[in-house]
Amino acid sequence: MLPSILRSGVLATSVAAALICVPAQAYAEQDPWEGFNRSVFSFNETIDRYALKPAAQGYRYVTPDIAEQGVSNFFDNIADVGNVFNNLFQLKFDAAGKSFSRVAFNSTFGLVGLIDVATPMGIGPHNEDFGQTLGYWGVGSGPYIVLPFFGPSTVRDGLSKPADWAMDPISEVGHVATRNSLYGLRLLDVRARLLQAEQIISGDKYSFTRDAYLQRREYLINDGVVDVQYDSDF
Amino acid sequence: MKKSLIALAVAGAMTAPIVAQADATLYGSFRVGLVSQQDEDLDLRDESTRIGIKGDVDLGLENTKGLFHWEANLDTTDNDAGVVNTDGTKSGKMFSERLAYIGATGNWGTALVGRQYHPHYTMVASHTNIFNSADKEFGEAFILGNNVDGNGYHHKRNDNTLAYASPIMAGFQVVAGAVIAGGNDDSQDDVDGYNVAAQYTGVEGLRVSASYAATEEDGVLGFDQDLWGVGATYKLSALTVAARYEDREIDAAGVTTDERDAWELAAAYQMGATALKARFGDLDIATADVDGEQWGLEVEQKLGNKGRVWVGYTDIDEEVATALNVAEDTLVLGYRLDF
Repeated sequence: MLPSILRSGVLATSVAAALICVPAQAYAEQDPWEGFNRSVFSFNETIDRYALKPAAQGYRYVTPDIAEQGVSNFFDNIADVGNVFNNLFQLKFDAAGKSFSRVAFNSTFGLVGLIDVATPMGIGPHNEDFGQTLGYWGVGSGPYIVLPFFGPSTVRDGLSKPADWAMDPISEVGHVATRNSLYGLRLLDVRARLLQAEQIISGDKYSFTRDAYLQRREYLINDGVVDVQYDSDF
Repeated sequence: MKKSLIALAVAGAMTAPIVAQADATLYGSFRVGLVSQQDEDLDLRDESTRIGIKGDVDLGLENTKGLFHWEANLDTTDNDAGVVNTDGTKSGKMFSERLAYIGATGNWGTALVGRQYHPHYTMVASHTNIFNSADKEFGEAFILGNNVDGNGYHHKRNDNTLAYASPIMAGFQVVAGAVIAGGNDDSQDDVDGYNVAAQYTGVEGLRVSASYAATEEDGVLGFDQDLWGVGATYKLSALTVAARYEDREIDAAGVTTDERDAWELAAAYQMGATALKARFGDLDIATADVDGEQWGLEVEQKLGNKGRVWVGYTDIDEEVATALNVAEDTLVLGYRLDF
């Protein structure tokens, strides 16, 4: 929805970019390791420019939209397994139960997850990862850090990644070739989904990405309730 | 649906103006499931589709009205009860029986005659029977009152039953029922079996019940069966928890031929239209030296007021599954519409 709106006009794009750019100064404080981060960022950018992005563009080009949607749904369904655990860890029992119900319905009626039948049935997603769980329990995010290959993160979110891997059903796939193929396809799917989002990037790509990441994390951890001072806009 | 029946009655009344209008309700529930079981092909099954008519009749009495109820199973996917003709079509039984009774109800209680639910089911077995699926692996495997293993009366829906249910007094209700099955031998007991039960619902959210049922050795079945059970359900906002215990012994000519007991725990958690349900139980068949457990999970999603889909899974220990002739693992995708 959002990307299609954004594609529809320059005006919409610039408005959205302006909105996202507002708190840029606020997030600079969370980035004491900017020098190191910038060099890792440009390393990641190089890999992305010559390998990942062309692969994702090719994937989008050759794959029918319906198949792409199916792949995205398939990996969202797998991610719902982690959502069950993380919602439980955050004592969000309704969200945990609904995530479990999503897996049950999407894996069966939804043909192993290719179709998201749960959302139209009234069971929407409740996405949570372990970094959000730590944030929920009051663990501070720590400084912003750009990880090689994995991209934007914080100390807390970076350290919580092994927990996310442990809750990832794909890591349980015993057949190595199958497991790696799934990892590869998921990477392609994630990158292809970002192709639309990155169209709104403006100005310094490094700081834009950082601010967008930190703002998004804050938003997710607080389940959409954020303390934003809008008066500085006017 | 009620309207169309009344419309029929009105249409009838036009031609025969003296016909009294009976207040009858036509209702039903269509349920199908796609079932996957260990060592079995995928199977589309009827999940206990039923159609019924019930109503009450003004008897001209101050505190009493007559009532009737008919309900039949309509098999949507197989017609095993029917006869296969030479051209492959089936004829014969379209319905199989569920309920058919007539009675009267008033401030003194309710009296019913016919094929009806025994209190052992409605008051004890029902506590943990919370899944949608009707397959024996889900609902019946560990319930001793029903006739899944070929012995005794169906203390679930049994015919030839005469029953009285008291009104609820200070939260208490008592039900007593007798099976009077007839037979050609006048020397046998007239009452072939009975079931008495009591239930307490005096505390908000709580239901506690106990039941005792017996089959008489001098009755038409020719053996002695003792069955008792207790059950409780407690509902605390979105969470419902339940427990059940049953014990049964069958004796023939003074020798115990079958002795078994079962317990089960169940829980359901409601999140708006979505519900998660779980069951865990144990069955011990002492006379066969068989003991094992069962667990099951079900996810249910209501679609509007009259529709739902569900996914259910159950796992039964091999030893018990073999003894009961049921599948060890069963997965069901179900769809249900009520009217």
